[in-house]
Amino acid sequence: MKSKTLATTAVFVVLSQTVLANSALEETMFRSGKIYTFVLVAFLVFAVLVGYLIRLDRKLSKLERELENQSKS
Amino acid sequence: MLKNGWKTLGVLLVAYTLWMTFTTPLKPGLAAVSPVSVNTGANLLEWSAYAANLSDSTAFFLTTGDGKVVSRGRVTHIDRSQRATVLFNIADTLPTQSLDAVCVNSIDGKLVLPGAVFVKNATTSTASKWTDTIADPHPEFGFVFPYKSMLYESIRNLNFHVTMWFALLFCMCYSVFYSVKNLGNNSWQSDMRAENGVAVGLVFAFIGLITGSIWARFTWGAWWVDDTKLNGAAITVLIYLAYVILRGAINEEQKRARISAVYNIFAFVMMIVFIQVLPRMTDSLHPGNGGNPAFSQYDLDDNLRAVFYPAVLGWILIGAWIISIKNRMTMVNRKLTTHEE
Repeated sequence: MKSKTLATTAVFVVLSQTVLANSALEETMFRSGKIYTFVLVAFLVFAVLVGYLIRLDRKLSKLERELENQSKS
Repeated sequence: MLKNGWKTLGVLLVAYTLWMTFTTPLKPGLAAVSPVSVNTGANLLEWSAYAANLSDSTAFFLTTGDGKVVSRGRVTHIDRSQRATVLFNIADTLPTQSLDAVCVNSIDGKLVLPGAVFVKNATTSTASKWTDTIADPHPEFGFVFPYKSMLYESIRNLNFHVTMWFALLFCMCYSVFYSVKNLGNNSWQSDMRAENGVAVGLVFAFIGLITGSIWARFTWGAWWVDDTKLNGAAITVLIYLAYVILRGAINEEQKRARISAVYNIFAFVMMIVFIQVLPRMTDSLHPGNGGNPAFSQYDLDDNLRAVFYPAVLGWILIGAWIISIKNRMTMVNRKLTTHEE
């Protein structure tokens, strides 16, 4: 689970950086007073936090299932 | 209800941050004047401003560093309120060769770009021939964020990037507090809190590094610059990753709790040195470093503070909330496993 998350993030970081190196996108980042630099940053903050919360949620569901199994047996 | 009030407060503060950061306009500013280097005599200069309202009633000046008018420009063309072509007649003898660009109107007030123009062949004389200064009309801006060259709108990142590091600092403080407690009382609850504090802190560190990298790319020009604070932050993350690995390497619970508690205290001290002390002793691109205390009057203005401080508290509360969820999960998990045995 952990290594999978790490691998995904590594791929994401590499991808985002190669995509952003693209000149058209780079132009977008500088346009309108660099507002998109802010939009991307704000988006990433929420994206990573939500991703982390989803992971926590999954772990919790697993715990709940285990608890249910235990009370049955 | 009241018991969980701090969570509501955290959400409200982050919502406030989001709203304010997205809706507050930027103050107008002067971005550039070209060419940067000119000769004496008649010169046509291209002025570009940001969020400004340049018009025919805007006055353009070249001044000395202390605000004495050296030349007043004659506007030849204004493009969409942001760009102006202005004709200047620059005298042969000047108080200084480096001149500030200043433009004034009743809506934007006085916009200054220090050291905007260098007059190559001017002879300097200290004679006080130039005495005129420009008055600032001080227009009412309402609630605006300051204009900073190079940053422009990305100054808003302050509430999303910088606050991540404050949240991290909180998580690590929480963690080290329980590590110290663990050394005293040897309870598994303290150990669990220390572990979860670091886990959540690392998430914030991770966000801080990515967002910082993006911000750096479009303001300083590179994904990673050789800056003490950046490298310090990276080392900090590595130190805490080592903490996680260390925990994974020890199977016996008591031993793991003690060893990782000792390591955590060491890691915390290293973090303070790397991200708080060292950047202040050398030059850094980060504001507030290179000898200056952070958040000096030059870095933050009152409007930015009115959003930044609530943002810091809001993100810290969100961090605390995630830690508490993780703690409760660990406790449930522990109950499950001990029950099985």
